[in-house]
Amino acid sequence: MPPLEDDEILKEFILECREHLETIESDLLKIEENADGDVDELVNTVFRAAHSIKGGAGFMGLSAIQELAHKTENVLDRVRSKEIHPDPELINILLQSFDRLRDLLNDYANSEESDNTDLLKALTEILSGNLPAEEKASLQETVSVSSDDGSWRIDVNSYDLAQSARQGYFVYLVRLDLIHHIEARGCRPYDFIKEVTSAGTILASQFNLAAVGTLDDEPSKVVPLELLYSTIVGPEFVDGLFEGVPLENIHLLIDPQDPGKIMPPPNPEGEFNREPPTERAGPDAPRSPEAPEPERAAKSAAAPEDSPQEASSLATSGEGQVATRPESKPEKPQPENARVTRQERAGERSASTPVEETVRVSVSVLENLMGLAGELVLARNEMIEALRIKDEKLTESSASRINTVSSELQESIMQTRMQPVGNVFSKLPRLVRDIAASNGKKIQLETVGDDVEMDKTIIEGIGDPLTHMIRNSADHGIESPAEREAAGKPATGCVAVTARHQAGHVVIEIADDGKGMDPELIADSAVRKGKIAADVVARLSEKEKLQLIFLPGLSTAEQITDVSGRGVGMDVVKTNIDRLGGQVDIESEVGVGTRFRVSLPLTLAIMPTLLVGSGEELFAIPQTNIQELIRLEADEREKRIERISNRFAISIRDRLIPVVYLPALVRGEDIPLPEDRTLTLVIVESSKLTYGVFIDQLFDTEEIVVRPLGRHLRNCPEYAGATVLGNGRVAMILDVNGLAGLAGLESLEQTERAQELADTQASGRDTDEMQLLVFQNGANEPCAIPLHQIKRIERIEADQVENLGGIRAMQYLDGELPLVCLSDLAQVETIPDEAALIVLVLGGANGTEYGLLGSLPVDVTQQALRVDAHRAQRGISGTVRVNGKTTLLLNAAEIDPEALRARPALGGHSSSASDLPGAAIDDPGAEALGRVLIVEDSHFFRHQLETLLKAEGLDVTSAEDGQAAWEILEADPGAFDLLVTDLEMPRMGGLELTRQVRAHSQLGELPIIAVTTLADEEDIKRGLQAGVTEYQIKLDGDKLRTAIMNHLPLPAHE
Amino acid sequence: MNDLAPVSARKPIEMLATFSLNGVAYGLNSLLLKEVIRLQRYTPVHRADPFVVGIINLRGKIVTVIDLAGRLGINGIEETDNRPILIVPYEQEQIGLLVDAMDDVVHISEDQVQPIPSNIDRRLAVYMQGVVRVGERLVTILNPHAILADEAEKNSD
Repeated sequence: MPPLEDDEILKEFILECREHLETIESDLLKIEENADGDVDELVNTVFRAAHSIKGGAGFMGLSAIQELAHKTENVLDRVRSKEIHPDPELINILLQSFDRLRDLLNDYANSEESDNTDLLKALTEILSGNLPAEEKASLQETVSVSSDDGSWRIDVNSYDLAQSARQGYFVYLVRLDLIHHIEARGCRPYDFIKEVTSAGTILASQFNLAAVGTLDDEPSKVVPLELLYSTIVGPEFVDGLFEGVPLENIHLLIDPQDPGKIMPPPNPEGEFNREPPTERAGPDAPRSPEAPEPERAAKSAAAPEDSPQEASSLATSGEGQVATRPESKPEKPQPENARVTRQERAGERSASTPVEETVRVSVSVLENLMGLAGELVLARNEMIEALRIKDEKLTESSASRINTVSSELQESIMQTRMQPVGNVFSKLPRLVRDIAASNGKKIQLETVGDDVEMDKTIIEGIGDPLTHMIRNSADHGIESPAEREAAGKPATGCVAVTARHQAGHVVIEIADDGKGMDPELIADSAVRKGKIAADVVARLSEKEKLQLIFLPGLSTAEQITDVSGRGVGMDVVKTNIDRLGGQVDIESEVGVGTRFRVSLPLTLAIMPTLLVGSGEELFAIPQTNIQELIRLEADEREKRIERISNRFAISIRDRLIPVVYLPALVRGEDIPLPEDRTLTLVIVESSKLTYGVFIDQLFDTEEIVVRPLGRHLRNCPEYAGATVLGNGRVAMILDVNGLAGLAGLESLEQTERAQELADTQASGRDTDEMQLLVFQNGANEPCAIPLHQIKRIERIEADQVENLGGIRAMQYLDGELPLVCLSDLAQVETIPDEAALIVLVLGGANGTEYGLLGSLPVDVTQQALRVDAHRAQRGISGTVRVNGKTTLLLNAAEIDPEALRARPALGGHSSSASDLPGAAIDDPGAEALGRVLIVEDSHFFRHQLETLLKAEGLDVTSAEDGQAAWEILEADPGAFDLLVTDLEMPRMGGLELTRQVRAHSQLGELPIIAVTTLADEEDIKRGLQAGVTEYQIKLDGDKLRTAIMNHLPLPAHE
Repeated sequence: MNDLAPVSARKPIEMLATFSLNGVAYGLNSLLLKEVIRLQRYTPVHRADPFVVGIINLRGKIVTVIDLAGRLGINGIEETDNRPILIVPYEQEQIGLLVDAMDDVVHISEDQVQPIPSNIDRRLAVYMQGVVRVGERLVTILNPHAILADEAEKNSD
């Protein structure tokens, strides 16, 4: 248990240690880089860090930390005196040691239970490897030193003691009293320790708790702290350091100037070396830059200066500058304009240690703030006075003064939150070094713009994404030296990280000169892993393909490495940057390199927003989320807004975008869009998708101050906070991600699919994707039917369904609509009585119409039709996965009561084929009306077409692709009256087949109907040029049937 | 303040701010209250818990206003305008408690506080610390943590 459980002091210590640790990594790496150059200053800095951690930890009773810091310090001491060369091996161990120290400090409460023997052993080995044999032993030994009167003793590592003696330090045994000597001076024990360690080293310390007594004794008046203290301060000045401590409590143990005066401890004699100081003596006692009394330090330094050996060491280490050192050497290479020092760098790992976050603010900024606060008070007083005497002019002037002052105040306060991006960059050299080392690569890291400042929150948030991107560059981007040389590049790869201001944003670029990313490989990988459909990828630009690496679970590295992980990471990068309101962009050229460009706002606390109104309420939408505003005139609405059940979508420049109505969403009620009014649509972009928000009123843009919402509103994901507007009203800030989630738009599919659909529309290419209408049959029995086949959807009440002689029907338009239940035909559940009934109006054979009964809810999805035919039965083609649910795919041709029963048309319009005997299907013996060859690669569509045409009494032959069809046709050119072909097929496509058919002497006149899912003008033109007779939409049964009949020779019996 | 019960010298004295909900007297340690304001304009948050009235702007700070009666699951009065709101700082935020009417601040000593009668509905009892007789009235002392913490926090306690 720490002897002093003073939280405040402990926290201060931890914070200070973190500050020390902050720059160590980069310092060590610099030492490694210039191992043979002049690194004394850097080594000193690192040494001092280890030293002060050791000192403080010892004082706090954190002995595990103390021990590790101590060993590290010893090694560094040897590096400092040039006895050990800082080779990469050594630096590695030192880096690990400081990493461990950081971990231990972050979780100091459990640090005593930690096991650091691995590092301690490695450090000891380094020390002993460089020590004369007789000193090696001393590393492991402890000697006990007793006070003059023998009343107390203290244990110390004999190597430390010998080292102090060798380096020409005075060593004192000091006993002081916490109550009388430290508290009485008005300073805290920790301050005292800091002061003392600024002029020397505490070799060992202990609390003499026995002297305190127990609770039963008289209240103790002393808390003795016993120190073994090594310093350059001579006996004539040492009382100044230990002010107030009686001289008899300070006992000089070793006097370097008079080796004869060395008082060997009564206990193990001869354990330490009596040799006089040598020239390799260290520069001086470790001195922390904030030495509180440099003057005294300088004065006391004068004592040993008398000795010639000391003088020579001074010449090399600049000891003469002791007094000026604190100013001349700032502890950290902070840019000058850095006003804030982040103390909580390791915040993400410090969860278990409740150290409060602090910001260090420069005095000048603070004074500026104080000045402004004063001005504000004056202006306020003036305003109150002006209001009291009702002086309008004075009121106005004081208002304008308050206005100015508060703007300045805001700016100054924002300054206190600004931090240099270098705080994050400083982590990177180590990262790159470790990756290079573990992969056998050579990588050089360049950082530019360390002093660019950003808001604290953003600096904190950018750490992880930056790390991931650097990893990606160093691990996947940069090639091995051999590969690089083979490619004619320098063996050492380069990763450059730059930060700069650009148009009110900070742009951070991570560029490498590695092998670049191949958009095709990424696209292939995305397709292989099922992240995106192959035909969608085919339409993407190279840049868009690169963006695919941000899809979750995609990694381009052929092998998983332990550095860049398992294909997690890049999607996290995007999510994190989105959360910060930033954007990320990739450029890459194969063989040349990759460049990530991240654009971030300067601050999050103040946000430019668009104010919108919904009913009585005001909402603010962050500008970064807004793509565009669209005004929809009342007469445009019908055309632009697609309505699918209670969901809306809008088509903008060939993109189908889901839209929501803000008042309905935030109230969680079903509010219809206002009728006959111009509507305003805000197109917003969330991290996953783009969607539109209908609003009632559009106001101005406004810079708002974000205020967090209270705990009771945590479960409202649609809000990012609230803000107070100039008029005192409160506006809720919308979170577009949360809003999307609330609207059920969170699945990527819905918009991506919509996008694919729109893409298909735009390019007119054939895919096997279908828009499906999904509805419920049984209670939990989703059914799907291709949307083309549905003419209308009606909501009906159960009592509208009439029963006419065992046949269900309902009054519809000017006739009766026969109704079908799926359960009449197939082994499925019946529609529950309480269900909300709908009727899907479908087109039957011979131009009839019929209704299929189902129930709500209905939904529309765009779906690649991968039909599992295992569960096929009458009326059901099989099952498809829709939104993760197994859904029955209905086969309308088998449901159609007209086709099944050849009933007379009810209320439908008649067509040329209306008098065809539908009974043909029941009578296979009847002469076929025509012979049709169907060419279609998709099993599902082929089956659909077959069913449809067979129902019309046609003789149907099928082929899987153009090549197979061509073979069939060539074998018997006169066998078919009509060719119905798909366009996109493997081996030979529909257009190629058409050209071949047209070129054939006997087949030239064969009518060809091309079927596609969707077609545009361009496609139709190309098809007609190739010789297609007519285009039809797949599964638009009605039209297709008509078209086929039109192209068949007249039936013989008509 | 002569109607107060005699104050015991040994026990700490509490100042209890009393108020009424649906005609029944309740009290909170007045040291917990920062101020009392009147409800005027507020912004509703529709999808929040039903007892959340909305948020208000209290001199630039966003304060969530809770309908205390709704929080306790008892009936309150319908009218919202001009009703008093107790502003209670709670863990880095300020929360407003909407009550029907304010009464006096009374001094009580701890030994006057009696346990909650056992026949009180348990769902209600979790919000109560005890009862105290002040003159003619019986005042129920509320447990601030129970009424201010949100459900997730309470479950984790």
